[in-house]
Amino acid sequence: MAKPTVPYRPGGFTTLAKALDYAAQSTAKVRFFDNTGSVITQHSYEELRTSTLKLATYLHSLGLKRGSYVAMIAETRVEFNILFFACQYAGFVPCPLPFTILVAGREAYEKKLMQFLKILKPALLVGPVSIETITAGVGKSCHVPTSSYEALCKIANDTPILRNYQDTWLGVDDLAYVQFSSGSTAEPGGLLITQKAVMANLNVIATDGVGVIAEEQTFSWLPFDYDMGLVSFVLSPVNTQSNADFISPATFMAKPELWLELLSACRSTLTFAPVFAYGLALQKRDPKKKLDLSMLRVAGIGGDMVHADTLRTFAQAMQDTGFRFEAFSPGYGLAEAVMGISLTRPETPPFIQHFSWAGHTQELVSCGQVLPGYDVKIKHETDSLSVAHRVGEIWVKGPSIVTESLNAAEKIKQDKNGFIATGDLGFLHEGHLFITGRVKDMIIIRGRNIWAQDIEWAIADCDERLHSHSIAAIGVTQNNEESLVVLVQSSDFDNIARAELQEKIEQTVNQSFGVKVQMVWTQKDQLSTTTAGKLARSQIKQNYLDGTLKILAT
Amino acid sequence: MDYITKTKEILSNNLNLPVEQITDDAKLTSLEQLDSLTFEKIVLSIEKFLGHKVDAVNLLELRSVKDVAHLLQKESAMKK
Repeated sequence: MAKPTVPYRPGGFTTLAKALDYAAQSTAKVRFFDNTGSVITQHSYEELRTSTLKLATYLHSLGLKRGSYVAMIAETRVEFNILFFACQYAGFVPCPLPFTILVAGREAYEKKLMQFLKILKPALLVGPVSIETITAGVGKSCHVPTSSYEALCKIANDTPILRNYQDTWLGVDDLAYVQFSSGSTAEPGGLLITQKAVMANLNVIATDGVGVIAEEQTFSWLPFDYDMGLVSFVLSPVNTQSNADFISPATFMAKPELWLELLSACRSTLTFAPVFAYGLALQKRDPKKKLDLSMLRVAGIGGDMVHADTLRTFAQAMQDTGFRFEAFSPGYGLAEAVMGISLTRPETPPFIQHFSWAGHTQELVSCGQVLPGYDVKIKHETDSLSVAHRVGEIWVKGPSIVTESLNAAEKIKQDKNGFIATGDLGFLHEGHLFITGRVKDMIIIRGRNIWAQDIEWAIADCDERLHSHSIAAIGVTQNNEESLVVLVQSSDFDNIARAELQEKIEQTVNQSFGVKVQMVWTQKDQLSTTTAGKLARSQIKQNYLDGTLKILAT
Repeated sequence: MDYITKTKEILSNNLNLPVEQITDDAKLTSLEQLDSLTFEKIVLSIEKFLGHKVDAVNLLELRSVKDVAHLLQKESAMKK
């Protein structure tokens, strides 16, 4: 059937709803695959927009106040995209929340959702039917009405489309959504992302960042509540009329090789993933399956420090698939800037340099050049002489910097020139941004950002004999991969009590964060504090690595 | 069918752990190697065995080897 088409347009829209209006006239489509690699659902943007406008009509009938928050569990499914955009047309602000399925994780997940709802005070919470007992329970105790994607879309199916949506849609001066991936879950930040901010970042990524091409074929398994997953793969394809293919994060975790197989089968041109994912997928690849990755022009990589060896090993092993080293596009970004700040441009190999300091040489991969319109400043601690040459905290400024958060206590640090602190360490060299570490107390395990404080609080909560000021969670890098070490200081426990507490701690960390923990028991007064009495985690980590801590047991 | 044995087989395959090292009463979180990544593999094996998807809420309730066996039994009955 012939379809009305419009000329390809690489972004430049002023709101998300306007971008979907345009994409709906293109031939691009969105597909979701299951864990066998079969298509579950397929929608053209025209079909997606129709469902969206029907749901928008229904949302209106609920009598919610314009600008109300709609909390939505970010399961990877087309109904997420439909509800997200229905909010755009109906004048509500979508707020994606994590969909975290961990072993024995129900209580921890319920607690987390309640923290989000308390901060957000949404008018509605929507989740999949598969966890309806959880969302209904959490909603009830926080006085938030709940519904499911399945129920909403069923009702919307029999509802007429919203006609005069220009009267209600989120406009240029409105918010676009709330981003929760930044900030600790103990005190969730809830960044208020404006239409101006998201469109500014989407547009510069499209034109100068990845240089989107007509008939781009994107592929992602990243969670939809994660800035990289939402902005680069749910929103960016709409902004650039690109085809978008998805598998869920759970499918990727269970079958990492399916990512490579589908990149090949879908003839994907663009994908992004955290560093660990490339190594993992390579490890699980079935050598008998012939793959063709010659179409892949951008293999984005970020979320953490990138090691040159990871890139070389992958490119070398994938040579037979037609994968090109210059497809690797290391980048840097943060939710406080919506998403991207710097990116290695397409068809340019990653910029890898050797740097010498403190008597040793280190090979570092650049996270690309800073995108036009953005400015990066490296701030050095004036009183610290130990900071290596040129390395300092990265501060950024630009058209998508987010300055407002729902949690007043977690104020975004902004200097008088409009720069915000990233909490990451790095330096600029030949116009390239290099990341060397973090000042913020964040631990990144397999692409997931976990705040040290969240781990410490969860542990302190699991037994009354434990106190958060005697617990320190640190990330220790071994073989280019970060792992979690938890130090507990106390001389009060005998071997039996320690063994008992250790089991409790290991279970708590696994249920709440899904990661393994290495325990270290130290003598009293081993965990350094700042003058304000707060844990000095970087000092503690240094002492641990130097072997100067008095350790009782590991 | 002996669902405890089937459970141990699934866990053993996904965690590279000898079956003998998995006791009937073992808590899942105390098994070596079990983290979010291996849990997803276990879920995949469970769903492959059952031939259908398991509701996420039931997965969040899994605490022990016995819980998994119970889930396999309950969901197998549902299939019939």
